[in-house]
Amino acid sequence: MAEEKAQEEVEEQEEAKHELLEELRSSFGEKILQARLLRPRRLQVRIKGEDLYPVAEFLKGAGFDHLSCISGVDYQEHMEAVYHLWSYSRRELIQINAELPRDNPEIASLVPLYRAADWHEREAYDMLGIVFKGHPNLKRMLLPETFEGHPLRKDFKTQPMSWYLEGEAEMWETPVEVSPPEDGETEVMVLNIGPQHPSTHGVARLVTTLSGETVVKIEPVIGYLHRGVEKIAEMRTYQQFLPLTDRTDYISSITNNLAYVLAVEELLGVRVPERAEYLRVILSELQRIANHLMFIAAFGADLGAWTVMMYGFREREMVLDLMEQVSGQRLLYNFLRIGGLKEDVPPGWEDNLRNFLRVLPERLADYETYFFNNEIFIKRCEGVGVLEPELAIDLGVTGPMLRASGVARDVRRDDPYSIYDRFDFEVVTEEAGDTLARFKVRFREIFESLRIIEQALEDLPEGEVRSPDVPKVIRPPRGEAYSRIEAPKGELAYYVVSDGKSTSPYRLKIRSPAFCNLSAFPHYATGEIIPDMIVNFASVDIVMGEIDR
Amino acid sequence: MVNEMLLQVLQGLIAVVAVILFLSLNVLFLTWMERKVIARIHVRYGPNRAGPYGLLQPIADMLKLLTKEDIVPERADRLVYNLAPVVAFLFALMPAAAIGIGSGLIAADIGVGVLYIAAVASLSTLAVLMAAWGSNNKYSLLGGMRTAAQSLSYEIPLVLSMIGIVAIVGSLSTQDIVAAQSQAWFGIIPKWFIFYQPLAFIVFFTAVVAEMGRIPFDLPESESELVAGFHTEYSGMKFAMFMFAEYIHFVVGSALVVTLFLGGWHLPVISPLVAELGWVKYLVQVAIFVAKMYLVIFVLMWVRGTLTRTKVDHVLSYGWKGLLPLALANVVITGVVLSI
Repeated sequence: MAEEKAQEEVEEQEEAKHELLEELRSSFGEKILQARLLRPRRLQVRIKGEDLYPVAEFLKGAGFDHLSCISGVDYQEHMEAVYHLWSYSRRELIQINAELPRDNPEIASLVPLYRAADWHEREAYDMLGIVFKGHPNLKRMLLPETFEGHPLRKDFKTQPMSWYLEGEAEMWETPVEVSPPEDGETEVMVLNIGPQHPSTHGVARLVTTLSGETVVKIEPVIGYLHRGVEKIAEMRTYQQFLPLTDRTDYISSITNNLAYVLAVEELLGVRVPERAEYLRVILSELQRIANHLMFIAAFGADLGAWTVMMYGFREREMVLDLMEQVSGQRLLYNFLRIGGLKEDVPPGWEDNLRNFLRVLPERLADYETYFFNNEIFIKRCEGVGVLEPELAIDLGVTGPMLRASGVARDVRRDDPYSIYDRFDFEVVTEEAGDTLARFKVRFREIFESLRIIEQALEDLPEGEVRSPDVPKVIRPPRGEAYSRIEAPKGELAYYVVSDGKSTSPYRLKIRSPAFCNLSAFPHYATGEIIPDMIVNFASVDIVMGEIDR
Repeated sequence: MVNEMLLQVLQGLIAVVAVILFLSLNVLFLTWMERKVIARIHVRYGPNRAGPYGLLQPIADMLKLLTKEDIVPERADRLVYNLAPVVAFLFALMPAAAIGIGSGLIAADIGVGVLYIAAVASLSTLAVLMAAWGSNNKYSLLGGMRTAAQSLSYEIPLVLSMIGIVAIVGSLSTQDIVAAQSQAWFGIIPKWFIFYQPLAFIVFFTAVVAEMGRIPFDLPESESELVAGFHTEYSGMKFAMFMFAEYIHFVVGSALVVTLFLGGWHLPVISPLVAELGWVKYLVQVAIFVAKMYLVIFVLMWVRGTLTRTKVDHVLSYGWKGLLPLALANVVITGVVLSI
């Protein structure tokens, strides 16, 4: 039944797709090296690097408004810049492989078309040395300025870190230049917030220019927690890399697992048993609840409401207990496997889960009283840091942050993965686009997650939790997979390239939601005062492990 | 003649020691109580390792802070930086001299008591500014500037809200003010100024919280924005002195609320019973005063456990546009009622 439906969908999509691909072929002719439909809602075009800009412009005109990710791949004979564009109106993803010569990898910057390209291009430049012509600020993103070489190139030779950091100390000694004030203007002050600061949620650094207490300019500097996860992936087998995905967004590790295994399963063409699919949904939604509770707790702490912080952690503890019963771990579960789950849930766990579903709404009623009847809280958040919907889409913002600007986009609904198309849930949106809206969206999403878990628990089938088709040695056929999921923080995607020979990924790129959401932060937080900036920053819901990777 | 002078000096010394002792003991207890109360609100246990119920925690903290390395930032203004904690500590002690904890149990019953308290209480801003400037740290500076702005905005309603009481009593002495609240209607409902001057009480209480710099008005050291505000660069004993000064403000502020609005050491039914009992009378008075003081302190801790921090511009506009008109209205109303 489901297969039939999928088959129909393929045919339906194929026709619609042909239209777009035909249009592409007719407009660009020889320049399109290859254009094909990979699977429903997935298209691919292959072009030469110099033709990128017109093709991207054409696609933007055709409704591809969301630049999901830019990755670079070093194929040793040539390089490729890979663009993933999603169309909210067509509900299709197109992958553009732009081929570049390896000795001179230059390509046009897409910043004029999509502002989201800014940080992605800087990262690709940093990691692979692809030069994006026309980029306004092309400098290193994750690695220190004094670093030499581009680590994701295949011929990169590793050196001790101290070697790269030579000269860094002198760099810090040079003071930041501040232009003297003109007549009638106040002198501006550069305040360096972070990497060690109570509200940077880890090691983010914000170089902030202040005029009095008003924020004139913010420049986020990231990379302090960069561990080279993408590089490590190239040296580990597919199974070995799984625990490392936990450590990217370390407060919602199940969803990281999920995005990764979905990509590898797509490469392998493995189908996951029904029971495992249901349990994956249940665990992902539990993880979303834990993440949002953590967000509420941290947000409270940033506002000086330590009571809420403790309450949030108390409720999150219940989720951690459930996870511990399942996986034996409390933070980094490493529970999903390629082709299913590590093992079935223990007997009696479903009752514990039902108990949790009953208790949590009662507890959340307290939160409602605390926040929404609290004038100080409302006054601090209302109208602060308004992010316009058009700007949000342009900046590649996803997840609760985008929905708080009134854009009802949710990968679970628009591009269903796993079995999310079987559940009835609301895509929570708020119109205001301010910090309060971002808070409310996350708060209300907890209830939607509870609804999904209830439905999944009701239909939970018996059976295996691990597909027998997965070989012991995973060596996927040559190909690429891009798995998008709705992680608690937004659209999380793993782009995995297999060369068909090796047991480890040839290239693995993580499209981190917080990375893109953070890039939007300076756009809506300037012009307000420091206390507003702190709540604005908190409302992004960042985890540095995921941003810096 | 010489003997008389010596006696006076001795009396003065005893009073000073008594005040410092009273404050220190209370501060030590307060640090424990605050952590314990906040912990219970947070669904935690709080300190429970040092001594029974963690009661020795303040001593352990003191020892820890005493043995810490004393760090002076390289680019700090050394003189100002080192002087600031001492100044903060001294200025925090000064208002306590004019507050009595029993009839006659006062260090200096000066005629201008209330005025003196208002005057020296605002001096502590100077210490904060010294620390902020001396540290040569941007966070400290921002915190110091906020403190100055906040103190300035809340000092005025604070003083204005006391005028009504002064007008009713006809004296600035704290002893007289408490004495004026000793009566009770029908022997049970106390004639405290909180009932005569409810508006003034609200203004005064809010302004006192702001002066203390506690949540929701803890902007000078709001840790999520300014790390620790003016005392970001301080560590060890110097940091301890700032904390000590802060808790003294806490005690003095609460004592002032009790003195002005909650009848000081008077309690209906009990006070008349012990009025003729000699030294027992004083013991009961002190007990009543301290109990009331801790009630106020508990409410303030409760507020801290409940509310979030306000924003700096909201604090200032609330002070100037909210409290100041209210305080002025109170002065006018009191004046009109008194003249009738």
